[in-house]
Amino acid sequence: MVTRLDPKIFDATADVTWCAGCGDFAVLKALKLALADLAIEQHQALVVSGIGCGSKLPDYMTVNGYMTIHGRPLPVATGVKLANPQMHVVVVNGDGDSYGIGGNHFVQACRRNPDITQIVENNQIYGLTKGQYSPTSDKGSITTTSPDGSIELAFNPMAVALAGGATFIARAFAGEPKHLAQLIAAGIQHRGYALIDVLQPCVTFNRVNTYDWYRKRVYHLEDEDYDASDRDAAWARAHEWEERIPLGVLYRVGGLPTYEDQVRALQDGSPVSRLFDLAKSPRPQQYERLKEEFF
Amino acid sequence: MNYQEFLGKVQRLGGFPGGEEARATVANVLMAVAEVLPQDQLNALALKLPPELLVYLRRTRPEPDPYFDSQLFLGWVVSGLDATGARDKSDGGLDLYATYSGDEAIRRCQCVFAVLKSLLEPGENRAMAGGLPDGVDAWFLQA
Repeated sequence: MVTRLDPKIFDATADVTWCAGCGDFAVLKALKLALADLAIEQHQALVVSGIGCGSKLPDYMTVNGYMTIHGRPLPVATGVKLANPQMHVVVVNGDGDSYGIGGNHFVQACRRNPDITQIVENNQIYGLTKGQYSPTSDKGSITTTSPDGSIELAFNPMAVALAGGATFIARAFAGEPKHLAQLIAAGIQHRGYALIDVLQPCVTFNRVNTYDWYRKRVYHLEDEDYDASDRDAAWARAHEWEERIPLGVLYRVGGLPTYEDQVRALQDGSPVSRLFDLAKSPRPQQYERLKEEFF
Repeated sequence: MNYQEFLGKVQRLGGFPGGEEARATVANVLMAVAEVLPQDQLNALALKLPPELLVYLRRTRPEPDPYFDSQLFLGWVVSGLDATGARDKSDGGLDLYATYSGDEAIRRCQCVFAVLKSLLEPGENRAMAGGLPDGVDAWFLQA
């Protein structure tokens, strides 16, 4: 039986510079709760982010953190997982970072199935740069860079993930932190790539998709007779948006090999495990040898 | 107290130039309150409010979320007010186009809380404060 940790161990002292009421606060809290519920300690988790408001999240947690450049957390996370499969790797980034500039990496992660969890803080806007429309902004959105309304069809991450072969696809709402924490925990426990798209209001620059806007539309798949292993059903639900937005696990398939399982060079163990006997404390000379290889 | 009196009081307390800001503030604060109060307290509050305001006492899920905190509460309120331009406090004033609505959102919450408190008995006020998230209870009691 796993003994739950105190989520407070993940608290950090850095000043949080998110706007008051930002949905990112709920993502931060839910991630701490999920790690605590799974009894994953600080040194056992790595949070990888890109660039954006939500990507400041690793600064606000006491956990291994790695802020990469815009759109690139997924390849970095994949590399970390290959080097050290025992690390719980969680990617946290926004809709612009993940579905815009990071879109290629997103598609590749879906089909490669690395054992990492990605939490996308989807606020349908570029917030840090003060209000440009993003890939998930609804068509017609009026923003600083679309004064006459966006002319682009909004990116559908649920459908793209499903078509790309993702093995765990879920959607959550920042206004429901308990449900969000449960989905993050389920994603971390899933063996393979897990996407959790979090509908997360930007209280400063997106005045359309507010907490109330989502409240009127979201519903839980688990309240209906929904089978998350049914790919056809998932495809249909992935296209629900305007009037009803499904929350929960949209699609899940287990038992498939991860990317790391199939890399032949890792058959004798990961690079980290070959350098260290992880069952014992690593000796200082092993650390020195590792550093020499990189510097 | 009827609906117009309720809005008028909030408008005067907040110093809002127009009634629309008062209406938006009341709506957003009540929607946030509805997300956190236990059902029995919500029912008790509904009995004291003008009927026009009952439409805002609906929450996303049947039960309040135990992890709904003061930041989430503020999020509902901030969504309904114009962002306040101000010097960026985090960078020591280097960003001239920073926005910060937190202080104003708390002030507006307290305008609505003050009117709500005037409708409730002292015991009901204490009970309502007990149902609010940490931090929000203090805003309520100090309103």
